[in-house]
Amino acid sequence: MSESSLSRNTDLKVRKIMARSHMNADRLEEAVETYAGILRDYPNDVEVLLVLGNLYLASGDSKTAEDLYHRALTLEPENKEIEQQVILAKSEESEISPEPMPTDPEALARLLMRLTGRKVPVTETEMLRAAEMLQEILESTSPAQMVSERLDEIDNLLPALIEINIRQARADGRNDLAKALQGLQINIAYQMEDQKEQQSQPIKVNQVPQEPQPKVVKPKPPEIQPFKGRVLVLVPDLYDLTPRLNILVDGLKQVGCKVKRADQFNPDTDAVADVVIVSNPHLNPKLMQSMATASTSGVPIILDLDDNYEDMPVSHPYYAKKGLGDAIRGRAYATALLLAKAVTVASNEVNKTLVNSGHRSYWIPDGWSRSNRLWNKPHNPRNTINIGWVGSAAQLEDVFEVRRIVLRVMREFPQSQMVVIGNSQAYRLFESLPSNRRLYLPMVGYEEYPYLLGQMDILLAPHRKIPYNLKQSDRLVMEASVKRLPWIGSDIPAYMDWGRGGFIAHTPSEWHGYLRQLIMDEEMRKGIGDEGFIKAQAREQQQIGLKWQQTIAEVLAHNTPRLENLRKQPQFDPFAKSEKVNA
Amino acid sequence: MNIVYVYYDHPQDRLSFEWQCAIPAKAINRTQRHSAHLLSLKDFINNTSQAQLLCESADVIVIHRRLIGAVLSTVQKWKAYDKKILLNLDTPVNTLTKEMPAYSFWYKGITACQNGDCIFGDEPLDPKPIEQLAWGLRLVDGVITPSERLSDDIGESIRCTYIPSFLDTDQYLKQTAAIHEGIVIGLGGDGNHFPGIKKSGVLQALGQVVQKRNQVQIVVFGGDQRIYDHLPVSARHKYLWPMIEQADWPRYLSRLDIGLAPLSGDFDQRSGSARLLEYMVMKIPWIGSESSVYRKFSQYGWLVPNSSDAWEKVILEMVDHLQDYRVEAAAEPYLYALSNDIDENINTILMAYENMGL
Repeated sequence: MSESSLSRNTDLKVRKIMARSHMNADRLEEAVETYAGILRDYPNDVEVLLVLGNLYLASGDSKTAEDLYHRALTLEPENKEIEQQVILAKSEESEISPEPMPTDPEALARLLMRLTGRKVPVTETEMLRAAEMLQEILESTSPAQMVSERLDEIDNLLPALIEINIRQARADGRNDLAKALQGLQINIAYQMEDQKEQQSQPIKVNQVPQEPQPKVVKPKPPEIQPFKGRVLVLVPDLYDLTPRLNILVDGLKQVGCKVKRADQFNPDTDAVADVVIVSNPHLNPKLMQSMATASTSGVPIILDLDDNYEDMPVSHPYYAKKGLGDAIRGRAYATALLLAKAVTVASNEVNKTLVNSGHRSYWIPDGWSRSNRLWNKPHNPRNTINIGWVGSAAQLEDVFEVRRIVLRVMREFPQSQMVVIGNSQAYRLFESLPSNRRLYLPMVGYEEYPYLLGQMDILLAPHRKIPYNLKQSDRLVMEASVKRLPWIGSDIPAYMDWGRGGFIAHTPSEWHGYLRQLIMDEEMRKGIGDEGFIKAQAREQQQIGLKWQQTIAEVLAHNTPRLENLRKQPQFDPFAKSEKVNA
Repeated sequence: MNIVYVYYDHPQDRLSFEWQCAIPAKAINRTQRHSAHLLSLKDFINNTSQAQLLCESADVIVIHRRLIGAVLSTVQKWKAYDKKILLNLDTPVNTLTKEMPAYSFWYKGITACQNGDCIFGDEPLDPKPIEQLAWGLRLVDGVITPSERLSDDIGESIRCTYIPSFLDTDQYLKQTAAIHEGIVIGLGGDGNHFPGIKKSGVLQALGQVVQKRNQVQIVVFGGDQRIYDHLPVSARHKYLWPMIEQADWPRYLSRLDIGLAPLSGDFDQRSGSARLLEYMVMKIPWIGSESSVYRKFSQYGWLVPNSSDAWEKVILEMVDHLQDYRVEAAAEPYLYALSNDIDENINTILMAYENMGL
């Protein structure tokens, strides 16, 4: 035997074993795909011709099954069992048009749909309606709102929406993604059929009709057990983890969960996860694919959004990279909201919006970790009172809100110094000050960020009243509070809710007054700083870990695992049917 | 004490890095009581495992010149962990003029990066390095400079210490003078010194000297073609040496009979005095411009005012009586140079590091 034929035999053997193991593990999609793949490469393999024939027969497509049996019989004309199969297929009545190419992906998709319960494949009309709807959502000023308003329509068109993505994936040469989405489509289709069946079920005879019940106190929901299972955290970039993700991972570990970080979902190893938390998947197409695969594998998904992407202004420095103006990202964002069981967000205001839009959303604020000793490290003594501002290029305009007030106050207090962190343009706004009364500190990594905050004695947190700012999180004042750094902030909801460790300034005169007071009164700075510090203890990593733990438990309590649903249904067993027929 | 020197691996910085970092580092390690390591700027800002290891165990981190871009953030990072950060600055950036190669970096943000490896970011850098350096000066615990005048300038707002350049005399002492015909006079420097050399009048003086003394040959070292071109001497009498690696430099230096050190303008007034020390350790008679930089060396050489006549007169005198000047150069100037050996003075450097930022 030549080397190449030896290796072909091995390949065939291995692939058949894989296909059988998929079948035995109820992974029908993978099994069908694997058998079809074998047949594409080994068109004369009788065993696979028979298995696929059996599958088509079981799905009701007896004509395609007959064709496959015929091919097998041509190869083994003396095989009586195959003859029997041909007779059986001929005897079955079928209105389904035979598949000219039974191993073609679309034929396989139809096969799987029939096998798993969905009776009608996605029609072109549905596709058209889905595409129109998607377009409307993407062009909407508030995609989340639009999604929530049209949830019923989306539900009905979900297989079509996914079909659009499948076709796009195929057009892009992304067969892996197409395959994953196909699995998802089948699951959803199955569940839709299941729901229809349940709705149409008549009331059972022995069921007693319910009397109108008097108003009673709702029974207490069953106590949710603390979650200590396996969490897979999918992140856009493994090498650039945000502080939020670090706290999430370490916090969950601290409360006893097993946490794995990855940038993609591997169905072979990750399907054992109890829950997948996906961070900003719309920023990385690989993550969208992973979401689809995780969904196919039946693992509940929590979507974590660390920013208010819907209100992100075009002027934001990350808008080009993260904003929803990009059609692909916008579509991915809407799809991610659809695929997730629940959404977690850093801002309470964003959370409220999502809840009002009908999403299962949870507010899990940002936290800090005691393990970073720089949070508790006092700053070196200095002979100036440092008034600080920290921000990115997006917040430059916010500085204008207070610039004149700061300059005015600094003229009054020669011992004051302006410290600008992270935005050199903002620093230039204070060029009228002598160079020894202003200090620019470039931004550092998150580990050293507490050190930067330690370079200030008073933090200014001005924000214009734009939707993005109004819904931003309390992260900045929370972090200032951890450092016992008193702050003065604009009257945005997050800061007002935080309410400790600083002042809310509604007017320029309040900004001026509070700033003067804090400069003059060291005791006040200390007292207010201490108040904030106490409040910030509730945001320590362990507390945030508990919050995550509780949220996951709630999400899982409301989750009906798709895979479990599938398993509860009478399963099609292709081998059982063929055995019965043979008997 | 454990010191880490952070250097930018770039031709423009190489010579200065040798003097300011590599030579002191070797001497520090020879003390066997202290240690020093060299770390590339690239590793420093990328926080490679080696950089992490070195900086974690460092007491002092000395940044050579390029306190800009991601270096600033990295400096902040290590300050957060109580590391003492010093800047070694030997370029008076505020006095750079457009004719000087360093101008395009500090004022225009052009890094002339090697092999597309632009570690400071996309060119031209913005904000300009001169502005970033001003921010950086407020972040470091102190500045070290080999120029007294520059130290005075910087010291007005930031703690700055003058530490002169010291010689690794071993490099020079093993080199014997090269035998050659005629009299070879050398002058030069990196491109930043061209305006000063041009203004000093020395080039016209050399033109006259060559006309009057046919045996004289001029060597322009440092690779600056502009000096060579402006030297009014026939090609038969002048040579352009490229920038020589420090390790090879004594061999080249040994071919000179007379060393010139012209200085003119604000930039030159903030130079160090390493050039004169090198002449002296090689027992080369030298002539320098009258300036505050060289005043303290006046007894070991000849200082002249910056006019072509003055230069011409003194050069001719030295050419005509070279042997006498050689004997003189081998005495006190040589001993003075030996006293400026790095090993003899390493404690000065260590003490300065110790005291800065306190």
